[in-house]
Amino acid sequence: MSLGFPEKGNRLAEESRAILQDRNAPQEILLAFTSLLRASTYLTLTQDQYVELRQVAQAGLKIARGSGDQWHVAMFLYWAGQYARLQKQYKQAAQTGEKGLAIAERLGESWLIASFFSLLLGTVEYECGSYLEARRRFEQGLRYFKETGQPWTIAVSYGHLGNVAAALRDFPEAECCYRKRLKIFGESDGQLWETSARCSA
Amino acid sequence: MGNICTLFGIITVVEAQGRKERAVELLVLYFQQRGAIKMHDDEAERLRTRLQSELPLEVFEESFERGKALEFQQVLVELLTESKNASEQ
Repeated sequence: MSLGFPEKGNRLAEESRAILQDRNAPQEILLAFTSLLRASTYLTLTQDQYVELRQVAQAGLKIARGSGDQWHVAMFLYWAGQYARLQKQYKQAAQTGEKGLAIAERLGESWLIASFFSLLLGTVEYECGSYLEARRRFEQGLRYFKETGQPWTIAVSYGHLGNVAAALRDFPEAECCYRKRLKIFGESDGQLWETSARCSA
Repeated sequence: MGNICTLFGIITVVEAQGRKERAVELLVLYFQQRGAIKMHDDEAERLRTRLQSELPLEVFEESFERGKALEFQQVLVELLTESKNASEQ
C-alpha cells in the first residue's frame, strides 16, 4: 500500500471527486472517499496514519449505510479491511472483507468482488502464511478481474499467484506467473515495445 | 511500479534456481530502478546480504559491476523473449 506516488494519488483523488459528483453522492461520502484515495495506495504512510484512515473508512461506512448506498458500503468495507490488514489485525480484516464481499456479490460488481478476493482476502491469507487458501482466493479474484478486462488488475493477480508459488517453492510456476504479469504490462506499455522493436530491428 | 515488483519476484526465482550471479546483477538493477517503490526493500537487503556471503567476493563484485551496466527496458525485453522462447518449445 505504500508505493510513494503522491502525484498519482492526488490525481486519482481528483478523478474520484469528479466521478462522485456525477453520481450525486452525498458530500460527506465524497470527502471521505477522496481522503481515503488521496492517502492510500499511492502515498507512503505511517502506522498512525493507517489508524486515522481506518477511522475515516468507518465514518464513510456509516454515511453510506445511512444513505442506503450499497456500492459505497462495500467500498468502505474494503478500505476498512485493508487498513485493518495494514495494522496486521488479520482476523478483523478477513471478517470485514467477507462482509463486503457478500454485498459486492449481491450487487454483481465484478471489479469489487475481484478486489475483495485478490487485494484483500487473498493478501490476508498470504500474509498469514496460508498459501493454499491464498492461492484459491487469488484465482477467484483473477477470474473476476478477467471479466472486467482490465489488464493491470489481471497482471497484479498473476503477481500474487507468483508470490504464492514462490512461497510454496514451486519456482517454475512462480516464474510462469511473473512472466505472464510482465507480458501483460509489456503489452500495455508502448515504451517497452518500442524498445523491443529497436532491439529486433 | 508493476515491472519493478515483477522484477523483484523474478530475482527471487533466479536465486532459488541457484543462478546467484544473475540474481546479483538483477538486484543491482532493482535498486537502481526502484525509485520511490520501497515495498520490497527489506527483503531485497536480506537477499543482497545472503548473496554477498554465499558468493566469493570477486565473483560478487564482478556481478555487481555487470548489474550496474544493465538497462532496465532491455532486461524486461530479454525476460519477455525468454518467456516467448520457453512457450514455443
